[in-house]
Parts: sequence; C-alpha cells; structure tokens
Amino acid sequence: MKNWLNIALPKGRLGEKAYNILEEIGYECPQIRDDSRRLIFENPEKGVRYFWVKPSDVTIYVERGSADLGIVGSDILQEYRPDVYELVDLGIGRCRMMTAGPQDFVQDPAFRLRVATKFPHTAARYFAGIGRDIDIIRLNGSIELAPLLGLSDIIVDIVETGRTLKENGLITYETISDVSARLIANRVSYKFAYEEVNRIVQAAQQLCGQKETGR
Amino acid sequence: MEEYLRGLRQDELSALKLREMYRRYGYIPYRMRQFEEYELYLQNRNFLRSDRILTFTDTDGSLRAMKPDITLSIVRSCSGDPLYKVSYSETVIRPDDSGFREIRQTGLECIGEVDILRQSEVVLLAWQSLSLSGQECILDLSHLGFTRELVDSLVLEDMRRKVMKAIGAKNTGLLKKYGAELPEEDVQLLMKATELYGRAEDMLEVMQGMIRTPAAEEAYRELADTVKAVKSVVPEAVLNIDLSMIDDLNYYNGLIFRGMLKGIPQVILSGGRYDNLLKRMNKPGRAIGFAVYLDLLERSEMAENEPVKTVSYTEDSDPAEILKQLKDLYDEGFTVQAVCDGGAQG
Repeated sequence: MKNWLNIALPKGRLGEKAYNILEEIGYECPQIRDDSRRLIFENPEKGVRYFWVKPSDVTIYVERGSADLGIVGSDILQEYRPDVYELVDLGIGRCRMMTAGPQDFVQDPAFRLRVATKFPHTAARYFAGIGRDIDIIRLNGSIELAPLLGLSDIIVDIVETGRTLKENGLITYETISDVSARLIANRVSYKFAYEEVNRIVQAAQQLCGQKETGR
Repeated sequence: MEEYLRGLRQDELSALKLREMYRRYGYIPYRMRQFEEYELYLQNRNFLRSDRILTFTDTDGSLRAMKPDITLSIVRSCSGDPLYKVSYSETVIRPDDSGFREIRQTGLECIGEVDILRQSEVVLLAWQSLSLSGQECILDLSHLGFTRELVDSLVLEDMRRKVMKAIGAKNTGLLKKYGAELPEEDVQLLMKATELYGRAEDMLEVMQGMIRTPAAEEAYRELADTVKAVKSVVPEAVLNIDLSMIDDLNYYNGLIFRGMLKGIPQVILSGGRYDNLLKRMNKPGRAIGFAVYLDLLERSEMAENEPVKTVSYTEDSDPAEILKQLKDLYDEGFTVQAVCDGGAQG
C-alpha cells in the first residue's frame, strides 16, 4: 500500500507559488485550483495530500508530523527555530527582515530602544548580537503604525518592496536577514519516506536552480 | 499471566518488556532517588535537553531539583567497577509548551570498560527495543568523531559551529553559502555528510571515500565493526547511517544513534557514547547508553482490539442474575459490559 505524502502549504500567494513548483515536478493535485473552501486536497494516484494552513502554523504541522513536508518562509523558521530539516531554498517569496522607522529618528543610547514587531525572538537575538538593550512590543499586524503613534521608536518587520513604509513616511535602516520560502521536512517522516522526499528535493533544487540562473 | 497484562496501556506494557529484556542481558535495575542536588544539573547544564529545571528548597535548606535527567545520576553513582551495567524505568520532569510535565523513560547505561562488543550489545538492544513494537522501525547511526574530523579538516575554526549546525538541519543551501571560499571538492564532501542517507552497508562504502585523517579512519572502523557485529546477529535489522546527526560534543563522542517507529513523528529512542561526560565528572572509563521515550507510545495503535461481550438489562432485571452473567463471561475470557436499556453503560 502506498503511503500518503502530506504537504502543508501556507495560505496565500506564497503557498500558490509553492504549489506551482510541486506541480511542475510531478506532484499535481488539480482540484486544488478549484475555487472552494476546502482545506484538504488529495491526488490518490500520486499519493499526495495538500492542506492549507496559516503560514506561521506550517512549522507546527511539520514538527509534530501531521505534515511530512511543508513550505514556509525563512522568517518563520528564524523566529520559531522548529526542530525540522530545512531541505531546499525555493527562491520564491523573497524579501528581507529589516529594522525600519521614521526618517528623522535619532537613537539616544540613554534610553531603551522600543521595538515593535511580529518577530520578537528574531528582534531580541539581533539586538542582543549588537549589544543593544531593547523593549520589545509584540504586535500581530500593521506594525508600521507603531512608530507613527509613538508606541515604539522603530520596527522589525519583513520588507518586500518598501512601498508601505514609504507611504507612511518610514525608511529602512539595517537588514537582519534575507528571507525566502523553504521546503522543510519532519525529521522522522524524512527517514521513512527518504527516497520519495529525496526525489522531490533533487527536482526542486534543479528547478529552482534553473529559474535562478534564467533570471 | 498474559491475561493480566491486557489491561495495561501500550507504554506500560513496553516498559515491562524492555526491563525484562535488559535484565536478561545483565543490566541491573537502577532505582533512582526522587530528587537530586540542584548543583549536579547546574554543573552539567548543557548535557540536559532543556536548561529549565524544577527546583525547591528541602527541609535542610539545600536546593534540590526534580530530576530532569537520569544518566547524570547513574554516572555519579558508579564507583569504579570495571563494568557497570544498569537499566532504569523512571520519570523525569521536563518543560514543554504547556509547562513542566512528567516524562517516562526506560533505558540502560553501560559504563567502564566499553569495547566494541559492549557497544554492539547496546546497539543490538536498542534495535530489539524498537522491534518489540512489531512495527516498521529504523535505527539511525552516526559517528560524531567521523563528522567532526571531516568538518575540522576542511573548515576554519570560527566557522565550524555554524557548519555543524547547517549539517544537522540538512540545510545544503546554507552549507554552500558557508563553503563559498572552500574548494569545490571540499564542499562536495560536506554536502555528502549532509545529504546522504541510507542502509549502513551502502553508506559505509561511501564513507570510505570521505576519510581524510587517521582519526576519521579509526571512527570509520569502529562504526563498521559495530554495524557488522549487530547485523550478523539480526540481519533483518534496519540500520541506517545519517552523518548529519549531531550532538553536543562536550558530552557525546563516538557512536550516536536514534530510533524511530513508523507512525510516531518523533524520535522514540536516543543514545550514544558519552565518554566526555565521564571525563567532566572525573570518572574513569568509557560509557554508552540509550533512553526510550515511552510516552510517545501512548497514542500508537498497537493494542489489539479485544472482543467485548454486552449484557443488556432493564429496571426489572434481577441484579444478581446480570452480575452472574457478567462473571461467567469474564471467566470465559471476555471483556464484559452491562448496558441498561435507555440508561448508562459500564
């Protein structure tokens, strides 16, 4: 009996792009393109099952083995540091984790820097690395609003084009890390389905490598 | 006897079977104290999987810890016997996302004159512990000395930690980035250690081409001899090699291994050589051991469904008569259940 390969995709544009890659390397599941509210899609012939989950939950599904594989941004991996294999950089969803804030902001070392972010661990590690004492303000969205209302001095967030920042009179300061989507695997599932997972890894590496050089 | 075991949960049953197996291989059951001095864990913090320890002040004012680990206590208790072989079935207190909780562990430690025979015996017992479940299982092996020699011989000191971490996550993208300054041939060797996985016999062949130093040769030989000895006794054993398995080198050295059962998404057995811990605790000799995380078996679907016989009754039934029917069926070996028409079961 063929075993199902369970793959967690992040809801949204990144998940759709990731599915395109998996489809291209032979793990298609046509019904996933139907406009429906279903969360699980199966292709029994290929033995593959996809499900849509909140992007920040992908690592949880994979780490706990409900998904054998998952697609997740490296920003999430950096924040939660899940115990999973990080197999391929898919080269999609590229952006940067950055510090940003008002154009005229001048750091005063006499005060604790107030940092608003959705990524408290990432921010804490970054500022600890440069020896800066900070006060982390954890928010769940609209991070750009925090310095505008005086809730924080600066923000740590992912920046794709920088348009939202610019429109709100904010500028980027430093890059903390480059972000892109990664193919991750549960450490035990990887072992039991090694041949199949390895085939996916090789094909994805080849495809993403080609796209990279063809750009 | 078997009849009385049927009511046990899978993890309880496994604990009994494992203890009996270890006893028959000469591992004396070790009974642990409920608490230890906090100092013991403080000095060996990095050996523990988590540095959060549940502590309390004892009646004499000393700081005690609810034991987060068993190996440290066993190592401390060994007093220079040439060979100290003990098994245990204990509870440790460790934190997870929901707070501190009890985790049941069964395992064994072999301390003192550990040679290839003793090492192979421990690996054999690790395999037998997994295969007791009757499920598809894999025992992954690696040799920390081999991987470390490879990394040390190819990578500059300030990058070694990062490279080992990338290997441990099978992150070849990051490895390529770190190896940007290295000759292509060296990067390929590091990639092999990261990516390759498979049957021990096949992997040993590949590893032969990766040997760069006498220490790596020695590590290779030790791993190959262990695999050969174990496979000669249990040819059906699924022993795989994964050189990307990494552990804290301050404590572990040499052979390390992890056991997995199909359907359980976490490693269920973990062990290896920890001569370095012995040195840190000023004990002579070598040491190897492993632990089986029995809590993970709780949800596994290994328990057989047993037949249940139901006896129906109403408000008008004679309780003595129903009780007798239940007892008779029980005596015949059935699991019994009384069902009240329109009422509760039980």
